[in-house]
Amino acid sequence: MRHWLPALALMATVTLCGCAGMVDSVSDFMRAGPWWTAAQAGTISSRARELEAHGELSKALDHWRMVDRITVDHAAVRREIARIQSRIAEAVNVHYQNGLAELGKKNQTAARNHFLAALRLDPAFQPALIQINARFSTFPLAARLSAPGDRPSTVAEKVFDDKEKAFLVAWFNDLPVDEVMTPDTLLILPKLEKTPPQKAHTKKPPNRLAEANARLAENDLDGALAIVEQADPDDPDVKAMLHAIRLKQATTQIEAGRPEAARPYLAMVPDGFAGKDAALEALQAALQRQQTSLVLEKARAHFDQGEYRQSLDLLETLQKDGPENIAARDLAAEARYRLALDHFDHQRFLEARDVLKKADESHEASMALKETVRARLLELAQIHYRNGVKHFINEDLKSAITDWEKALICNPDHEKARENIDNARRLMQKVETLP
Amino acid sequence: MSKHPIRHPAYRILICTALLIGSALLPPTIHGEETDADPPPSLPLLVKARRGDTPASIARRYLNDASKGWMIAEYNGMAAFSGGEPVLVPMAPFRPGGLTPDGYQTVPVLAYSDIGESSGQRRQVPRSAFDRQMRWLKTEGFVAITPSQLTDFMGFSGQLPRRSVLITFDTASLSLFEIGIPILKELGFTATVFAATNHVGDKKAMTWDQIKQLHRDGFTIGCRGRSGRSLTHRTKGQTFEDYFKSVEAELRLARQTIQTHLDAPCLFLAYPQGDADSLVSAVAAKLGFSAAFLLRPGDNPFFADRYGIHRTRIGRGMNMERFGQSLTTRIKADLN
Repeated sequence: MRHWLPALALMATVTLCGCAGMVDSVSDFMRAGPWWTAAQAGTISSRARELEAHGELSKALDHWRMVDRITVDHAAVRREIARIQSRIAEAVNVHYQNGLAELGKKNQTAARNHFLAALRLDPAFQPALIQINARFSTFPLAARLSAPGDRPSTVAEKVFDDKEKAFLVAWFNDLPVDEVMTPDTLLILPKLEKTPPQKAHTKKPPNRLAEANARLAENDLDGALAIVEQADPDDPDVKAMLHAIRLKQATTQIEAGRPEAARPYLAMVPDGFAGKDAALEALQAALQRQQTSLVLEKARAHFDQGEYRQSLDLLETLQKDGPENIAARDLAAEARYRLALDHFDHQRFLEARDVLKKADESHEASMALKETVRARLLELAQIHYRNGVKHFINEDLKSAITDWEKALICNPDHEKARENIDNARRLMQKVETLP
Repeated sequence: MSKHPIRHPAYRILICTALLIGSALLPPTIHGEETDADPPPSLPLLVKARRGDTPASIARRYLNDASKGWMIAEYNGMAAFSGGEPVLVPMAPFRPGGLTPDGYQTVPVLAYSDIGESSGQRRQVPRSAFDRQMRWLKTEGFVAITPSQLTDFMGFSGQLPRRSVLITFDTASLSLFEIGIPILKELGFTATVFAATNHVGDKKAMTWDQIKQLHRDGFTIGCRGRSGRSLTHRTKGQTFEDYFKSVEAELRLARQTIQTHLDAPCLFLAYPQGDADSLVSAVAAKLGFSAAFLLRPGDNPFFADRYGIHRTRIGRGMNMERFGQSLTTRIKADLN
């Protein structure tokens, strides 16, 4: 029995070590087990590249992380992971800084879209979320710290310009109305409008324009329009308000990505009306973006159906018009790679080389394929060269030249082939000139 | 002469088995996983699809919820599986806020006043029109969500199917219970009913038992005050303090009544008459409502005001074209 003690002790130790990380490691082992084939890792890598080409960097990153778990080539996969992480970090920072810059220029929509873009790439990026919440997402309550000696009435006077509203301060903070608060007490207060709620049954005629203006400020365009339509249509102020509403309707449609719907509203606003020129410019820009987006969609559709040539043609046109279009650039890089890979798989190495001439150097898979194609063409050049030599020895000069020319096409730097062609041609001329 | 135990074949097999088990069970850090970087947040699960699997069956198996099949389909970019291919099961929201490279999600909220027979009242949408509208939603792939899902989405913590819609009713009427609810149930849609508590049990209104039944069936019961009167106007001669007290009492007591009857929190408010000002919104927030709904058309992206959620009124005269137009789910913007 004593002979078995070391074995039992070893088993117990190994089992205890295992148990320390059992739950995670069992599932890890199951995932990284030998039943995941290279082809399956290839499928996920392929999907990761496709996602990256569609601008879905976070999802692409997750896919690469999964590949890392099941592949044997960790180094290459981890390079991809590091590259995408770096791309995300860089893009998030650029968007955030651009958002701040647009805020400085008071371009609210552009700023918001930059912050949203940063959040899309990295949902955990708190500075962008804080900007969105603070500037673009309203909340009916605000926080404030009490000063030494503050009572609900003094706070009400400071915040609402009306100490009679002390009951509001007390109610919202579960405090007695007339007690001094501890300094630095966190107070929750309603964000009241500057003007008190309008009393019902007032004798004064309602100021429709002011009401409409308030609705317009709240972005309640239907409400504002309904009020204005009841006012005197010949009043110049009413007309101006109507134009302002139409203009707002148009800009709302433009911002919502529906430029065509904005046209009829803009047509109702007379030329020269303040803001119309800017809205027209925004409309043109939106139409341009829409057109770009349509072409991009079409390119994506071709790409998804494996029609990489058609996809690439469209994307290259887009890139000519707007080299800064990142989505087009990424999709083009992936389409170019897929097209070249298709040529390579069908042994059309020259076509693959032509396609890869414009390959993006940051697209690692394309660069690797380019190298493989180059190596294959060098081999082919060598085969053609040797065939040429055989023909030459057999005194078939025409066939020899044809093969050496093929060798030169495969490898334009093949100096021997070039020299041999010249020599063979000179020899042919001599033979022809012999009496 | 007996063999030394270490040379005994059984002993060797035992040691090999122990080593194999141990290597399988060792923690990830030992068998070469990343140790120096932060662990990636909630990585998806990698599974192999079985023959005949659908996104829903995979969601049921790994997420314990077949209704999350859309997450599997969207994450993997495929709606059907032949078996054997790798499938990634997302274990956390992968598109919070509905942000995509070409824009952001907005959730349409439909507001029906009531549903009735074709010869019903002016505010009732006829049974045939309602039936047609709901079937259209189903055919177009819309998923009816709950207000809780909407608030998760607006809190940037949850994500929704791309074509999500919230269906709401502003009257807890008997005809809604008898006509509208069965249509929704048949199509597998959920909805939210906002009740004005003083009117529950009235003639042609639902009883508390019927409301409880709806709650048990997965419908959300919200509050529309006690009387359903507008809260944004002071009555003649009323002081600001009295006005405030009446608003507070109207909302607090209505909420309490619903909670008592349902024995569950009442978290959603439809502003009576669809209208609110900043004070009414603030009172709603302080009283513990998670979100409140206006009766004004507009978009509801994740960063919209939770106490001013837009709703589009669906009237009896609305044709299908306008109905379709009121269901915008995507705002285009360059988020690349």
